[in-house]
Amino acid sequence: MKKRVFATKITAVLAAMAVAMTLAGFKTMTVRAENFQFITDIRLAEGEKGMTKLEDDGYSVRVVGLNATSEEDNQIYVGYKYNDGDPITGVVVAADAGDSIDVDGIKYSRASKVDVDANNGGGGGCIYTTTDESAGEPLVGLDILRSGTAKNEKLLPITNDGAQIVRHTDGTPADVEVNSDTTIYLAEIRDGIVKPYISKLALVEAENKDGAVYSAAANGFNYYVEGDADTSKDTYTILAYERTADAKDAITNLVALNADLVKKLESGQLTPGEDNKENTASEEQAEADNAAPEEATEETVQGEAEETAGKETGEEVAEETENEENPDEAAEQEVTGEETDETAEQAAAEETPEETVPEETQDEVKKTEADVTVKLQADAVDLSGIEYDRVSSRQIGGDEPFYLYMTKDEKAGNPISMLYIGDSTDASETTFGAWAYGYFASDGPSMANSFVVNEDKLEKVMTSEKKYIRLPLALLAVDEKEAGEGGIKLTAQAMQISLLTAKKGLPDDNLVLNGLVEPTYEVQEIERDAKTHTSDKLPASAFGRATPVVIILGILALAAAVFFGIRETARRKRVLTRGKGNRE
Amino acid sequence: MDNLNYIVFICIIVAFGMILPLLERRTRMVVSFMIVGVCCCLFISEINNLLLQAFDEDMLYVTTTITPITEEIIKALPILYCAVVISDDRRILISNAFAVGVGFALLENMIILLQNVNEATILWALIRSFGSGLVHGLCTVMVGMGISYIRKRRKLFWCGTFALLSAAIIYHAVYNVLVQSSFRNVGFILPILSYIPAIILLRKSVAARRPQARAAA
Amino acid sequence: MLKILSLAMTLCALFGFNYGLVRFFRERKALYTRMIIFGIGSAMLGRLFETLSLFAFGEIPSGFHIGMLGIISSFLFFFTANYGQMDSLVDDKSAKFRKYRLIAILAPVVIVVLFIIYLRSAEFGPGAVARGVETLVIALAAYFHLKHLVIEDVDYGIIRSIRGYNLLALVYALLCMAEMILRAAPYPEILLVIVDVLICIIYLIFVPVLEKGVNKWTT
Repeated sequence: MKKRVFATKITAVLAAMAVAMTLAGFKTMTVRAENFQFITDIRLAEGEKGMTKLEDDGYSVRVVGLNATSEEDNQIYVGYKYNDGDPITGVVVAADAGDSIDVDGIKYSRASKVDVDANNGGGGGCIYTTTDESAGEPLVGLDILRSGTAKNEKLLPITNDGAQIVRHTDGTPADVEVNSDTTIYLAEIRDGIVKPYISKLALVEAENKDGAVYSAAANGFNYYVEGDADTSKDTYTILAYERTADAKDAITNLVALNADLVKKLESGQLTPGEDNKENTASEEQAEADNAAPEEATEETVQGEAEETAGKETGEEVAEETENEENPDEAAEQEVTGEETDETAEQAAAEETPEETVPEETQDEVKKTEADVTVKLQADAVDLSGIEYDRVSSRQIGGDEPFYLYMTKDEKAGNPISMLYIGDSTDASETTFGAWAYGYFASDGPSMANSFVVNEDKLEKVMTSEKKYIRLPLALLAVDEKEAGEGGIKLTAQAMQISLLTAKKGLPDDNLVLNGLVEPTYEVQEIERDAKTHTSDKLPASAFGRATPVVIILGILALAAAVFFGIRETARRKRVLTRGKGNRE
Repeated sequence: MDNLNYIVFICIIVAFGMILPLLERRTRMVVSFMIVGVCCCLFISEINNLLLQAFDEDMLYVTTTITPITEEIIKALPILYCAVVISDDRRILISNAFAVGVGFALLENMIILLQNVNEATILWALIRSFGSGLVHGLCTVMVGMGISYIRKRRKLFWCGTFALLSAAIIYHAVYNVLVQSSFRNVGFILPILSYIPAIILLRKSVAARRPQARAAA
Repeated sequence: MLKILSLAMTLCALFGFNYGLVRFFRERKALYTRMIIFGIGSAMLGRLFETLSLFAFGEIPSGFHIGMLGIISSFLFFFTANYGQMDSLVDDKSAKFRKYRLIAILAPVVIVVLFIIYLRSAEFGPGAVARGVETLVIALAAYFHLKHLVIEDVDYGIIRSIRGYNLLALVYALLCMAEMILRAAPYPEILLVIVDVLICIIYLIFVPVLEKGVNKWTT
C-alpha cells in the first residue's frame, strides 16, 4: 500500500514537472516574439577609431561603410542600437539644418552631425530620423547597398525585396556617395515587410530603365515590374507599384480599355454620361489625392493633372534635359510627386470641384491635355457594376493603344499578388524578393527576416495552375453592334501585361460597360501586423551538406555489408549442404 | 567552423563505441545497431540534401514524398542484414530494429536542432523526442516484425517486403505531413497513440510465449 | 466533398481491415485470406495519406505521392494471393483451361486501355510513371481475378465459392482505374463522387463476401 502511495506521489510530481516544462516552452516562445528587435538609435562615426568608439558605446556597427574608399580612417561607419527607446520609423538624408527638420509635417531629428560623405568631399548631408508612427512601420534593420566598381555600373534605387531606399527630403533617392561614380544607398528594412498584395500602381516612362526606376523611387514607389511595359516606343515604361498586407486595400482586377473606347466614352457616344464639371472634378480629385505611397490611400488613379503636384518632373523637363547621370531629370514620367498639403487633399474630398480647382492647376491640365493623344475625361468607369479607376493618363501600345484601369472591388476577383510584363511563361524569371517569400510564409502575419517559406504554396504558384492563375490583361474593345446598347464585350486578347491572382473568384468573363461614374476616394489605413514570428511547423527531416566523402563512405559501407552478407549466407548454405551430405 | 553535423555525429558514436567492449553480447548488439542507426542518419541526411537540390529546394514535397522513402529504405537495410546474416529471431530483430530507429532519430533531432536553434524550446524538444523518436523507432520495428514474419513465408517475401516498406513509408509520410500542417498536434500524438498499443501487443505476445518456452524446456 | 469522400474511403477500408483482422487472424485462417486482408490494410494506408493531404494542404499532390504505394501494395497482395496460393490449384496449365486464360487477358487489356485514356490528360513525369507501375500491378491482379471468375471449377469447389470476391476485386480494379482518369482530367465531379462511393461500398463488403466464400471451404 505504501509503495502504491509513494508511486502515486512520484507520478504526480513527474506530471507536474511535465506540465511546468510544457508551459515554460510556451512562455519562451511568447517572450521571443515580444523581444523582436527594433532600431531605436542610429549614429555615424568617422574612421576606425570612431567605429571602435561606437562599439564601446554598445552600438552594432556595419562593417560596410558609406564611403567608396578602402582607407579605414576615411570611412564613415553606421552604428545602431536595438530596443533602447522608441523605435525609429523613418530615415531621411538632408543638408545639415540643425537638430531637427520638418518633412511632410513629421519632425525628424538629426541622428549624427557627421556628414554622410565626410572625408571624401562632403556635401552629402546628415542623417535625420523620426520615431513618429505616421512615418511608417518601425525599422528592424539597415542595409548599405553599393554599386560595383565597374564603370557605369548602375545601382537601382528600387530593390523589389521590400527594402526601402533612404530618400532625401524631396523624395529622391539619397546617394550618400556624392563625389564619385559609385552609388551607395542606405536601405530601411521595416517591420511588416511582408505585403502580399498590390495596392497602388503607376506607369513611369523615361529614356531608359535606370531613369524610369529612379523616377518611380523618387515618387515614393518601392516596387516595379521588370520589363518595358510599352515596347512600341523608344522610351522605357515601367509599372511601379506599392504593396499592402491588407487584402481589402488590394487591387483586384486590371483591365485595358481601348483608346477608341475611351474616346467614345468621353464624347458621350456610349453613355449619356457626365458633364465637364464632373470630369474636371475627377481630375482634380486624382491630383489632390496623389499622396505619397506610404500613406497607402485607396486611390491610385493618376489623372492628367499628375504633373501639377509640386515637382518638376514633367515632360517638358524630359525634353529639355538629357542628362543620364541624373535620371530623375531625364524622366518623362507619369506619376505625380508627393502631395504634402493635407488640407488640399481634404478640401478636394469635401468641397465642390468648381470651388477647389485652382486656376493655375487648370492651366497645367490644359497644357498636358495638349500633349496626349486622347482628351481624357474617363477617370472612372463602371464595368458590370464595378467601379474601375484609370491607372494613368498615359496610353500604352502602338497599333492598338489602350489605357489601364484598375479596381479594388472584391467582386472583381481576388487580390492581385504579382504583375508580369512580357510573354514569358516562366514565373521564376520574376524577381520575387522578400515580400513574395513572405507571402508564401506559413499562415499568420510575418515579420522581416522571420517568416518561413511555405514551399508548397510557392510550388503551386511556380508550376501549377490549379490554385493560382496568370491572367492576360483583358482588353475591352469597341463592339459596334453592341455599342448602341451600351454593351462592350471583353476580348480575351493576350496583352503584354499579365496578372497573377487566385483562381477562385476570377473576374467576370463578360464585363459590360455601363458608363462614367464619379470616382470615390476613401482613405484606408493599413493595420500593422501583430507581432509573432515563431513558426507553427516542425521540420521533418535532417538535411546535411551533400558532402561527397560521407556519401562515398556510406555507399562503401553498404557495399561491404552486401558483400559480407552474401559471403556469410553462402558459407551457411555450404555448411548446411555439408551437413545434409553427411547425414545422407 | 567545421560542419556541426559531423561534430555531433563524432560525439555520439565515439561515446557509444567506447562502451561497446564493456557490454554483454546481447546489449552490445543493440548498442551496435544504435550506432548503425546514427550512421544511417548521417548518410541519408547527405543524400536528402542532394535530393532537395534535385527537387528545386521544394522542402514540403521532399519531406512528405521523398525522404520517407529514402529514410525507410536505408533504415530497413540493417534489419534485413540482421535477419539474413545474424538472426531472424523475432525478439532480436525487434530490439535491433528499435535501436536502429532510435539511433537514427537521435542524430536527426540533433541535426534539426542545430539548424533551428532559434526555434528550440523545451516544448520543441518534447515534441521532437516523442514524435520523431517514436516514429523512426516504430517504423523500423514494423519492418523488423514484418521481416521476421515473411522470412518464414517464402510466398509472401516479395510483396510482403514491398508492402512492409510501403506501410513504414506511409506511416512516416503521414507523420511528416501532420507536423508540417496545421494538425501538428495530431502529429505529436500519433506516434504515442501507435506506441502504446504496439507495446501492449508485444508484451502480450512475449507473455504468451513464456509458458510455451517453459513447457518446451 | 472530395475530403469527405476520401475520409469515408479511409474509414471503410479501416473497417474492412479491422473486420478481416478479427475474422481471419484470430482463428489463424488460410494465408490466402490473410494476404487479402493485408491488401486492404495497404489500401487503407494509401487512402489515409490521401485524406491527410487533402485536409492538410487542400489537395492530393498531382504527381507521384506516397499514397500510391498503398494502392500498389494492395494490388500486389491481391495478385500474389491469387497467383501464389490459388492459381496452381485451379489451373494445371493444360490445354483444357487455355480458353479461360485467353478470356482473362481481356481484363488487363481493358486496364491498359483505361491507362491510355488517363495518359491523354496526364502530364508526363514521375506521377505518370508511378501510375504506370500501379496500372501494371492492377492489370496483373485483374487478370487472375477475371480468370478465377470464369474458370471452370475443379472438383473441390474452392474457386466457385469465392467468385463473389473475385468479381468485387475486378470491379475494384476497374474503379481504381476510373478514379485515376477522373482525378487527372476535368470530368464532372459527380462521376468521381460515384466512383468513390462505389469504392467505399466495396471496402465495406469485401471481407464479408470473402468470408462467406471461404466458409464454404470447410463446410
